[in-house]
Amino acid sequence: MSMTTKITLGIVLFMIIFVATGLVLLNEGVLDSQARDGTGRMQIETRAQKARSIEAGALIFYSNCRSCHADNGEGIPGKGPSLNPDLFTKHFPALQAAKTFNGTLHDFIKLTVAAGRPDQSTYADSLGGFVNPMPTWSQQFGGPYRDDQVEDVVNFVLNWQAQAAISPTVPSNFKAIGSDLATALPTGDAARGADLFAQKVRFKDNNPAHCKACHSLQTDTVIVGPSLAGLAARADSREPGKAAADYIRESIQNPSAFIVPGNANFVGANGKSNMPEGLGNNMSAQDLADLIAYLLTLK
Amino acid sequence: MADQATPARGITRREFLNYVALASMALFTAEVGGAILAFSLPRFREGEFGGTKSIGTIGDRLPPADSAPVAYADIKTWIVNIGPEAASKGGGKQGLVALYKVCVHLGCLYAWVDSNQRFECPCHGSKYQLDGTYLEGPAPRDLDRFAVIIKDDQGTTIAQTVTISGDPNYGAPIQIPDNASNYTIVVDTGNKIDLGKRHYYTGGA
Amino acid sequence: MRLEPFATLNDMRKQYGIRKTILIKVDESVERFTAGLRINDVRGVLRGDPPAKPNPRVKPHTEGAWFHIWPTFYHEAVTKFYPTFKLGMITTIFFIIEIITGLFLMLYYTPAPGISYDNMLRILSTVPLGQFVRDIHRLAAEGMVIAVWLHMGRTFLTGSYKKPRQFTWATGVILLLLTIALSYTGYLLPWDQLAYWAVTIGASMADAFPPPEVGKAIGLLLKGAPDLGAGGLLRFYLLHVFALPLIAIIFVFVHYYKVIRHGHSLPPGLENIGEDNARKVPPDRRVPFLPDILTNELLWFGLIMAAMIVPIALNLYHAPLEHAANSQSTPLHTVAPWYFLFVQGWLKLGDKTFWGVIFPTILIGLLLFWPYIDYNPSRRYGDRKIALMAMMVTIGLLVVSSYMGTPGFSVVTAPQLEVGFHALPPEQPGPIRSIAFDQLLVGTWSTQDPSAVPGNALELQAVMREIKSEIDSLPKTILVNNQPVNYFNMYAELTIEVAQGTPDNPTLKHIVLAVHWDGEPIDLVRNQPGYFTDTFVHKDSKYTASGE
Repeated sequence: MSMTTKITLGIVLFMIIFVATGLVLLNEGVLDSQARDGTGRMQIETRAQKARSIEAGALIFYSNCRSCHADNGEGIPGKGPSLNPDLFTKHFPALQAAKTFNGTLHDFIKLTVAAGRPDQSTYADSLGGFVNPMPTWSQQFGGPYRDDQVEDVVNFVLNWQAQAAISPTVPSNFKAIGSDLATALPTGDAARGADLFAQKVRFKDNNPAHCKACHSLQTDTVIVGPSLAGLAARADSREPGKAAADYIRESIQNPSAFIVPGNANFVGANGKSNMPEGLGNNMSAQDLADLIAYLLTLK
Repeated sequence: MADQATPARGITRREFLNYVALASMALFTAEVGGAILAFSLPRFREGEFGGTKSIGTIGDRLPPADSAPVAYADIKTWIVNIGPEAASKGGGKQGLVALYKVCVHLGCLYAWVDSNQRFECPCHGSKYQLDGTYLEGPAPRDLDRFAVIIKDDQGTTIAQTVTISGDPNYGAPIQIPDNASNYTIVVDTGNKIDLGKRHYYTGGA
Repeated sequence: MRLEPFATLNDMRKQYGIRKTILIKVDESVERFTAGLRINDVRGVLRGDPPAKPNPRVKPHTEGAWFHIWPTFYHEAVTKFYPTFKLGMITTIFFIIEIITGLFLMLYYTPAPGISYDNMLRILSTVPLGQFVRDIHRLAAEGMVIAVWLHMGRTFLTGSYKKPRQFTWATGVILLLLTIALSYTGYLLPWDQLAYWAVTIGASMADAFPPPEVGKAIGLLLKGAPDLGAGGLLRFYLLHVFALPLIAIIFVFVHYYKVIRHGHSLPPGLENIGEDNARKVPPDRRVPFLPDILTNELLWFGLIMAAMIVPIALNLYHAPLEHAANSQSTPLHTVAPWYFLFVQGWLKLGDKTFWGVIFPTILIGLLLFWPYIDYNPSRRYGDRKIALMAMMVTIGLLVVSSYMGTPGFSVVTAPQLEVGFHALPPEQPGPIRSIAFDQLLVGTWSTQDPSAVPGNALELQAVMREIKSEIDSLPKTILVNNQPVNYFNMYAELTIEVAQGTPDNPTLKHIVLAVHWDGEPIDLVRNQPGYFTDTFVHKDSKYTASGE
């Protein structure tokens, strides 16, 4: 190869390097227009990192948090408070109004996730009490997760706020059964009851049933409340003079009327059942009947 | 060439002194090497995780056989006294083990649940026997252990966990010697024992 | 002492006029700056004129600090592509690129768990050209490892390690080890899963060093603690940015001094056996450094830079970054870096101490002292049949043992785990996450009927077919503890739900991959039969197929 060929080739190569590097730089997002429209590589990467953090947080929430805070963060009576939307619309605004916490919402969530609650939640009184306090999740406080993972969970929770909470719309014709034990129930559909229990369908007010958060279907397995395996067989004889269906109905609508003996954890500090009151407020008469019909199949 | 290869005379005083000087420099260099090694090799304070920790005497600190274990949070350890009952349900051997407090599934810290007489992991429900053998749940294997050393009041080692992987007694519990209440239990958190697989619940009482 | 009269600037102006005075002064400055070349000499070099006599172009070599490293001329026979293939120079260029890009990356890097990974994210998202510089650093590192190996192979091929160049070869072997050590220590610094586990696997070989007490001490020295953590990261960082480059630079100078001192060895056919004529270059075979060799080297520099920058600019390659290091969770199929795959292959043969420590040490020793062992004085290919055969066999064995080191070889994983791993790998995007977000249709899709996926989600349909063919290609029966275990009628179901956002405008989707087969066990977390892998995909995640 002659010297002039080499020099020419060198020119071509260095021009290629110059143009390629220039193109990379122009695409990075250093221009004002790119920063404004979010079209530069750095802006896209920043969004992608946030998105992946939300994904990681979602997976942690899915495996650890939803057993108390429910799939969409709507909370489970007796187990965990509503995050979506109550945390954003009620709890945190209340804290701010009371001026007891000066940090941001982000700080508040991170603090709670990382360090847990030393005792029953501060919301416990107004929400009827929770069985267990929030555990610690950060490794700093003896939990399993690193700080960046805690941050992922915070990003996930905050993402609910970012997109306007989905709260279930209650149909106008919905009539709750409440704690009314007198009204006769319609005929129950055990198949729909099973779907309600498994959260495949929802109550008529569009909220899911949370029974399985505390009650296992496996024999002798206590999550929080007693196992429901074989309930139909023993419901008859739990309370003298009460038929199985009536016993189950009373347990759902007025849990403290009879508490299954043999496990101190079933009783709360106030002597009442740890099963939350007011479960009937989400159920129509048909919902309750379907659930009871299903539970009576658990022989 | 030949007269270059063979020295003309015997060693002179100056040559000898130079050899001694070189040797003294070599000695110093070797010392520096040792000093660098000593400086770079990490050490752990007594009681720090990664080092050894003396947790007290057997008489004070060892829980009774088959009763609830005792936790030492600073060294991430449960001290367990495996009695006949736990041994028959679990790995078959009695004695003292130090269990690493971290669940072998995903690293949560498991806890002893007295009502169920087993360790339960709060995160994903792995369950283990008192001696750390796997019971149920998603964990892949038995709990990890730390090596334990038993020293008498003179500081002499009386017994210690076998830490040679492949030995039939690898990580086996330490038999409590007789009249041992004055002996000290030392946990070596730098020496983790991974029993490697699930030793399933074998039945028993 | 009486001062001699000297020409002041004013005198010069009077004598030559202002223009010429300035020209003379500039010319003098250029001569000092180039260590001996006046402006006309420089122009002569650029124009390709023959040098004046006496040749001023040798002055930068004798007077200048930089050029004295290079000889004033090369033998014509070694300026062609053969026999050197320019591999030593290419390695040096990569090394220089590494030093420069490495210095820039250090601006944004702190070696500490919990911080380092955040720094990596910051370099990628907030530093202009951050990704670009990191990509070049990574590519040049891989390139340097490859170039060093090839350089050694070439030196063996042409017998250039023979007398008098035995010591040059030995320093070269040390530079090979240093290059691998540099690459390996750098591997850990991003502190992601890839780094953490690849290095953990490698560092556990140090623990296997016999006897156990010594192995444990070496492991502690390297990792600074029983497990890889803050101490280990800091030690690897200091090795990577300070100790190893320093030693490497020293050895580069020793190595290159030897190369220049003995001259580049001529092609074996050009001289008699036992002769070494590299330094006796007849005047008509001399190729001057200025301008011929320098032009050539700059051309190679441009070629290498273009070969790295163009793929990066076209988004064909980006250095991978996985999730933050998690000491509690080892991803399936974790392997050491590719240049250690052959050691991983040996480790599958048996004892960790023998195959991981003793055998490699023997090989390195053999390599280091090979020129002192090889008594055959001839460098000609025809006289070295056994040595060349041994080289081919060694290369073959390295390739085979590297293949043995890949995860697919002799590691039995249950088929359902493989399906989950390939469809939703924990540390790579994988096929499912790479589907366009709006084509992840809500519903349950089965590999039993991929055509049920509507036509507006062809990517999803293609992935379902891909998973189906993956399942079909897996063994139906595997041996567990010498017992056959059957995996008949296996199929996968993909369930996609909206996790956040509204049904019309979802931002986050929950994806469950369920694998089912005959006799499947109950999943202990879920209490349902089958094997489940969960993941979430956000609309902004940008899981592109290339480079990740």
